[in-house]
Amino acid sequence: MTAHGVASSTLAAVSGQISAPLPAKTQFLRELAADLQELTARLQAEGVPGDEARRRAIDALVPDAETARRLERLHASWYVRATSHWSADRLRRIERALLALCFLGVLVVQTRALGAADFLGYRSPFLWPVLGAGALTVTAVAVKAFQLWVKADHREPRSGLRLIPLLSVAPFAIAVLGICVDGVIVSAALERTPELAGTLLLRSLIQDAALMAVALLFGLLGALGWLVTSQWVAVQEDAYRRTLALEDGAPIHGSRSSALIP
Amino acid sequence: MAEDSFDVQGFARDINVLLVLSTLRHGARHGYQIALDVETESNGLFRFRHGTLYPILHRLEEDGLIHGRWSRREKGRRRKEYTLTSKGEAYLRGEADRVETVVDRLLRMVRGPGEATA
Repeated sequence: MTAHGVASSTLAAVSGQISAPLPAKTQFLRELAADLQELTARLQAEGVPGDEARRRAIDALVPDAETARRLERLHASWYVRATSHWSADRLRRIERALLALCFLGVLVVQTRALGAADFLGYRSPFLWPVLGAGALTVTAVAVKAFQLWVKADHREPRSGLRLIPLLSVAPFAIAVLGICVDGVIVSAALERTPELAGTLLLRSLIQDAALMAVALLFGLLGALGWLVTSQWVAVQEDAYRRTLALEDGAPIHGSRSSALIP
Repeated sequence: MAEDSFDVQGFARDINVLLVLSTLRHGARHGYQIALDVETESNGLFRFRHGTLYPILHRLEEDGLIHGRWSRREKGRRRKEYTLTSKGEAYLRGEADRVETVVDRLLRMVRGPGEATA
């Protein structure tokens, strides 16, 4: 639903005042737009001139600063509510520690998984950089998911989204580089010891296959994470823009403003 | 034995909640219609301004006392209407009894012993 006759600038000003998760904010703005529209129409039907009717409707229905704070608290995520008494500095430290734990956790889990699959016995020297880039990719997806769905901080919903596909390509690029370098090393070894050709080629083949499999796995995980998060953001932004009757590409979050009456 | 203490600060908020719930007893209403009904039924004594109604509605919805759903009106326009849930009805009855008791005791204190309440 668009804002129809209701000035979208009024809704945009309200939006700038409320720092709630995007789905809740869009729902509220829709509700407010519908009520403003109906109340304005009702007042006009009672003989109140258009501008005056709109002003009265805004005065009655648009939240003041205190009400906006109450709406923010009400729609805050469980995480924000649970950590609301912590200082910003403490929260930042804890979130950074969680980030580091996530990265290390992914590294440990993937190393154990590779060990269990007997991949480490045929590891390329490039396996560790691929694992590192893969852990970074998974961590970036986890950070974005945390921001969108746990913290529900949607002030900049697209921040960091572009980083995920770039990071997803990194393990694959490193693996390709590793396979090329391994090829050169194996060729040199074959030149020195042609009698070991069978063993060297087989080992190189397994090594490169393992490297590429790990890189592709992380690339797919990153691509899937990016697809899910970016699509979710796109759907929410589209609903928000339609509610405010904004053009595509218009900024989602205006600065806080008290100019509710345009 | 001491009784539960009465939250004076929260009384105004409780009254607002009761006003909203009692309005919804008559059927589904949307935001500003609730505000109008409260104002009309109380002869202008109670009035919601500056969007104060919305946090109340959203909290009641979160608590399951009311249920909000989008309905389509003429010309394809949609608006959010709220209905009272069975939990909300039970809450309204309980709170109405509680407020009656509180007001009764308050009036007894204010008017002095032996005076009948209104």
